[in-house]
Amino acid sequence: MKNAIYKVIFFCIITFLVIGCKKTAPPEIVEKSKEVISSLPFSKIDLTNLTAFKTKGSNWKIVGRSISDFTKKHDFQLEKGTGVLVNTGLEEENTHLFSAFDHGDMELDIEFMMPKGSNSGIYFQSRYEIQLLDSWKVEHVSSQDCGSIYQRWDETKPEGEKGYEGHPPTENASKAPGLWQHYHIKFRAPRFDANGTKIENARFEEVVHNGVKIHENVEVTGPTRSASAEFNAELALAPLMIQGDHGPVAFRNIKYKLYGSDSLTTTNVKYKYYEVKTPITQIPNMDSLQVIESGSTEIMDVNKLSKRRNGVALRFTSELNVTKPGDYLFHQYSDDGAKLYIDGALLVDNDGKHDFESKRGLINLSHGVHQLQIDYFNNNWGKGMELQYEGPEQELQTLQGLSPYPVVRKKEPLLVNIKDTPEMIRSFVYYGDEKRTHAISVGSPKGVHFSYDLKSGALLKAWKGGFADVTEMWRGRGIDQVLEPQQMSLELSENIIATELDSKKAPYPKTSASESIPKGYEINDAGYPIFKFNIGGTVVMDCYSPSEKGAQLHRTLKVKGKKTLYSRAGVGDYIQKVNQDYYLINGSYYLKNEGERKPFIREIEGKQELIYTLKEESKIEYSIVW
Amino acid sequence: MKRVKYSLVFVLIFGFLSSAQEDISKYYPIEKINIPKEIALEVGGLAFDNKGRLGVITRRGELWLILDPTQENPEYVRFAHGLHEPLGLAFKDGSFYCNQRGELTKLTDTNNDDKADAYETIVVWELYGNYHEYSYGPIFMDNGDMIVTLNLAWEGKGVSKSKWSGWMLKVTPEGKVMPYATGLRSPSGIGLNKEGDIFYTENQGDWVGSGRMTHLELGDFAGGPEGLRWSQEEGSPVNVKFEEIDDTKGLTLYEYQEEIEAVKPPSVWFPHTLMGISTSDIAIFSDKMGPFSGQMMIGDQGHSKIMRVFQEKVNGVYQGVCFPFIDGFSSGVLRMEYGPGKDAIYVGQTNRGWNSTGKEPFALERFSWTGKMPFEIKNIKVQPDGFQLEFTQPVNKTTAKEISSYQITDFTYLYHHFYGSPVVQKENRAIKSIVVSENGLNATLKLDKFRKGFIYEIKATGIKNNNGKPLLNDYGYYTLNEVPQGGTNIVATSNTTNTELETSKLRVTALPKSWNGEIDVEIELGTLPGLQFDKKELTIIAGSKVKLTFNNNDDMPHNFLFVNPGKANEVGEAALKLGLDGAALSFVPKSKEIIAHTNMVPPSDAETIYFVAPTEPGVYQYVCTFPGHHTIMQGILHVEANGR
Repeated sequence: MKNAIYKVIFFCIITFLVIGCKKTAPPEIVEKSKEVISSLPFSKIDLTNLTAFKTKGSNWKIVGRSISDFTKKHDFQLEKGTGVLVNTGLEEENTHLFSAFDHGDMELDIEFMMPKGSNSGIYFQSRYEIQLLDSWKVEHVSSQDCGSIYQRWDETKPEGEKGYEGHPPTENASKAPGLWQHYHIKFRAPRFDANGTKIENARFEEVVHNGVKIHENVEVTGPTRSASAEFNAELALAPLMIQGDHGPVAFRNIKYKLYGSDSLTTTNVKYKYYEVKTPITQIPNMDSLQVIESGSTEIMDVNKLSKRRNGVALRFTSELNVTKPGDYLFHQYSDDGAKLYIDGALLVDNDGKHDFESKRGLINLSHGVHQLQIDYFNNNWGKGMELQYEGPEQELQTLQGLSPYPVVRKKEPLLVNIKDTPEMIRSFVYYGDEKRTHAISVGSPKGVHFSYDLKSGALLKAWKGGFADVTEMWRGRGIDQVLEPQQMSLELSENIIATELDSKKAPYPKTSASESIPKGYEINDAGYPIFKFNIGGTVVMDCYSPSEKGAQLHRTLKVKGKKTLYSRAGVGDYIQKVNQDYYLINGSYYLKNEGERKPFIREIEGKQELIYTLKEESKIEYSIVW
Repeated sequence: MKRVKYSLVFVLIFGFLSSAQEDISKYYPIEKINIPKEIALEVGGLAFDNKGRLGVITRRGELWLILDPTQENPEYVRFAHGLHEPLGLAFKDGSFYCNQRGELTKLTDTNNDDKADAYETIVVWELYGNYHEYSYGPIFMDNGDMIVTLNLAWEGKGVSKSKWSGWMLKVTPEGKVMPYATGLRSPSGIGLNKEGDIFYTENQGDWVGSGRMTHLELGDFAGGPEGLRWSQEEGSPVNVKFEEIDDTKGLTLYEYQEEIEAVKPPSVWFPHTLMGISTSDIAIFSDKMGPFSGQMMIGDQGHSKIMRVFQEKVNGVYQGVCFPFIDGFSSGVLRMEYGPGKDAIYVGQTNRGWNSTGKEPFALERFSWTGKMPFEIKNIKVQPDGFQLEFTQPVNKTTAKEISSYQITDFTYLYHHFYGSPVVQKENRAIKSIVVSENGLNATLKLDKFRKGFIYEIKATGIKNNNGKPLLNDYGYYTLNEVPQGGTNIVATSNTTNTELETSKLRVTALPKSWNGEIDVEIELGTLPGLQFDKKELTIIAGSKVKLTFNNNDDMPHNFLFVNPGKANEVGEAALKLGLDGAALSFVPKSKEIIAHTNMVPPSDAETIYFVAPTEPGVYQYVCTFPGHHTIMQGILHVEANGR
C-alpha cells in the first residue's frame, strides 16, 4: 500500500515531466527518423458504390457532393460523383440502410451532414441508436437531440411514460445544418454466456461529436426506440444500421475497426536484474554484468523488480502466444530506455536516456508461439516500462493487461468564464500541433469566443460555450503556458490579415511580409479589441465580435491608406456559394457577407479561395457561421 | 486557514532567528495591504502613476490601480487586462509601460475612464513557446530610452533559441532595439544606482554558481554563454563567440576574465542559502529610509526577504558587500517600489509555483523606517590589506578591538555548466591588527592574505554597542574584485585543499552486521510539493530495528532528521548556523538531539538508513533542515512501548 501511494506521486512527477518536455520542445527536435504508423489503419467503406450495404430502397445513393442551403428545410443539392453516401429523403422511399458486415465491439469514425430540420440515426447492431438531428443552437439538449443515446420504448406503459432510459449528450456540439460534422464512437457489444443468456449490457464506451466527448461508458439495457424490429432480440453480432425514414442525410469518410479476436498472452515470463553504476545513457551490455537476481514473474513490472532507484537494468524473456495472425503494432514505452525483440530480431529501439516515452514497431505475426525479449535500463529519476499493442481485431491494450503506471492524477482545472463584459487573455495557443506564441483569446458574454494571432492577424479558432481553460498557464509554474478553449473549437485555416498581390492570380502568402508590422490594439466601446497593423504605410484595423447569440462571429476590416490590399477570408478544397450572401467554406463553416464589398472565389494550386479586395479607405464586413 | 497559521509561526520564528535578540520590525515594520478575495495579485511589476495611484501588474495579465495604497483596505480598479505574464511596469508621461512575454507594450487611457483603451506594441520579442521565456522591465533612463532583459528558456538547461534571449536591451520609445549586453540567465532585477550605472541581478543556475549582481556596460558578457548565440547578429556590441566558452578548465568566473577580456564578474555575490536563493528586484535606499542612503535593497523571492548592498568602485570596478536586511515577507519578494514621498517601499510578492518561505501565493506589503537607529554594520570598505567596517552606532571599543569578535573566511564558486557551484577553496583568514576609530564608528582590520575574485564572509559576532547590545545582523559577504593601491598581502589564486569534514555516525546506510539480518520494521517516507513529508505521523516500537527509505519526490533537495521530542526547531535552527559548511554537512548540525538522519537527498532520489528506535517511548519528531524548510517540514514519530 505504501508502495502504491509512493508510485502515484512518483508517476505524477514523471507525467509532469513528460508533458512538460513534450510540449515545450522546439519544433526542430521532432523526430526525423522514418515514422512507423501510429495506429493500425481503419477499414474504410468504399463509397464508389453501395456494395458495402444492404438496402431495399432507392432513397440511398452515392454522389460526389451534397450542398444544402441551410435556410431551407430539407434542402439538398446533389452533384454526381462518388465518395458521399446520401439518403435523398424522398417520402415514398424511406428504407433503412444496413452494413454488409456484422459487428460486435467496434470503433466507428464517420462524417455526416444534416440538412435543416432533418433527422436520422446510427444504430449499432441495428439496435442501439446514436441520434442524428439538426439540433443547431438548441440550448437545453434532450435525449431526442443530436448526439443522444435515444430512448428505449415500452408500448405497454401509459402515454408519456413510454420512452425511458434516454441519454442526452453532455453538451450540444452540433454545427449548423449543411455543414459536415463528425462522430467517433466506441461501442461494446452485449455479452452472453454459453446458454445465450445476456450477462453484460451493451455499452457506448465513448462518443465524440465534433471533438467534444458527449458520452463515456454509458450502458444500454436493450434496443432503443425504432430499432430494426426484425432484430429485437439482442445478439453478439449484427449489422450496423442507418435510419432512412426521417429525412435526408449525407455521410462520407466512413471508417471502422472491428474487435473481438483473442488477445496476445504471455507464458513462462522470466527476468534477470542487474545494477549499473550511474550515469548511464543506454542499455548496458548485460552479458558482461553480474546478475543480481533472476526468476519468474507474472507482470513485467520494473518498479517492483528493481532493488534500488537508480542505475538498474532488466532483461525480460517470455513466450508470446498468437491466436490471430496478422499485423501487430507494438508501442514500447519506457523511462529511461528499452529495446523490444521478437523472435530474436530487434523490433523497437527505444534506447537512450529519456522520460516515459514510446517508440513503435510493426510486425506480421503468424499463429503460434513467438519469443519476446525486452531489455530495459534506468539511469535516475522515475522508472517505468510498458508494452502496448494493437492487432488484428484487437484494440490498443497493454500486454499482460496491467499497466505498471497508474492513471494520471489530474490538476484541479482553472477556468475563466465570462460575466458581463468581454475578457482578453494573451497566452501561447496550440494551432494544430504548433504552439503560437503571440496569441490573444477574447471571450464574450454572448458565448462566442476566439483566438487570434497578433503577429499574422489571423483568426486561429472560434468556439462556443465556456471560455478558457487556463490550468496549464496559471497553476504551478504554467509549464505549457497554453490557453485551451473549454469547448471544441472550429480551427480555421491561417489567413494572414491582408497582403499586397502582384496580380489577382498571385498565390496568397502563408506568412506575413516583413513590412506588415503589428501595432497593438484599441478597445472599442463594447470592450472588444480592434487590432492594428501597419502594412507598408497603410493601416489595417481588424475587429471580431459576436453578432448573434451562440452562432456567429462578425468581422469588420478597415483600411486607411493608399495601397490596394487583398484579404483572404476562406480557403479549402471547395468553396460553394449557397445563396445570395452565404458561402460554404470546405463544408466546415459558412461565411455570410454583410458589407457592400463582395468577395470573389478563385482557384489556385488545387484549392479554392474566397478573397476580398481592399481599396483605399474601404471596409469589409462578414460573419462566420457554424 | 492552516496555511495562514503556519506562515505566522514561521515569520515569528524566522524573524527571531535572524535577529537573535531583536526584531527588525522595531525599525522597519511590515504592513500588509489587503487584497480583495477575487483578485489573484501575483505581482509582476509595480509603478505609481502621476495621481499617486499604485499600478500593480500581475501574472494573470491584469493591471490594477490601487487608488490610495496608504489605506489598509484600499479600492482596486482594473486598468488593463489580457497581458501575457508581464514582469515589469513603469509609468511615464501619462502611460504605463510593461514588458509582456512577447512584446513591450504602452498602455494608455485616452478617455479618462481609468481603463486603458490603447494597447500599443512598441516592439515584438521572438519566442518559441517555452514557459521560461520571461521578459522583464522596462526601466526608464533619463533620456527616455528603456532597459529590458529577456530570460533564457529552460530545457533541463538554460537555452537561447529566440533572438536576444539572454540579453539586456535598450529600446527607444519608437521601438528601436539596441542590444546592450549578454550572458544573462534569469535577469529578473534591473536597477540604476545613484550614478546612473546599470546593474542586474541573477539567479543561481547552470553557469551561475550562486545568486549575484553584475554591473553591465555596453558590450559586456556576464557569464551565461547561451546568449552568445546572437553575439554575431547585426547590432550586437558583444564580440565574444559562443564557441569560445569552455568550462573544462575548472576556473572561477573571475579567473575566466584572464582568458576572455569581455567576461564581467559580478560586483556582489549573494551566497546561496546563506543570503538568499533567488535574487530579484533592485531598489536604492532614499535618505528617508534610515542610515543606509544610497545603498541598495535586493529582493529574494525564495527566501521572502530583502537584502542590503553597499558598493564601492575600486580601480574603476564595482564591488561591495551584502548584508541581511528584512525577512518575513508573506510571499516571494519580486518587486519593490517607492511611494511618491520616497518614505515607504511597496513590496510586490508572488511565488507562482516556486516555493517561498513566505507561504502565501501572493501578497502586497509596505515598510517604512520608524526613525529608530538599528545597530548594524553600515558598510564595509576594502583597504589595501584589509577591511574597514563602519557601524551605525558607536561600538564598545573593548569588543571592537578583540580579535575573537570577528571571524573572516574567504571562498569562491566555480564557473561551469552545472547547476550552481559548491563553495570552493574556503580558508579562514587571520586578522593581523585592528584599529578602532576615536568616535567608535569604524573598525579597520588587517588580514593575513587577500585573494582577488574571492568572497569574504565577515562576521562580527562579538561586537556590542555602548548599551551592551549585539549587532542586529552581525555578518556580511564582501566580493573582492579589486584591491586598492598599496596592498602587501595579495596572493594569486591558490588551490586550497578543503579540510575533510567529520562523517556522521548517526547515518547508517548499510544493514548493521550486529542485526544479523533482522529488520523489525520497514518504513517508506516520501515528500510532497510545498515542503511536506507525505506522512505526517509514523509509529514504531521502542527498541525496534528500523529500515527507513526516504524517497524525495519533490523538485528540490530535502533531508530527514529523526530528533528527540520537541527538538525539531532547535535542530533546524542549529542547521541554519552551519554557514559555509552547511551544504557539505547536508545541513545536519552537531547535536545530541539527533537520533538518526539521511544526507541531503537530491530531487527524485532516495536514501535508506538503518537505526534502532529509542527505548524510551515518546512523541519524537522528524524534520528537514534544508535552510528555510524546518519550521514547516516536520512530522511526528511515535515511539510506543512494546505491549508485551
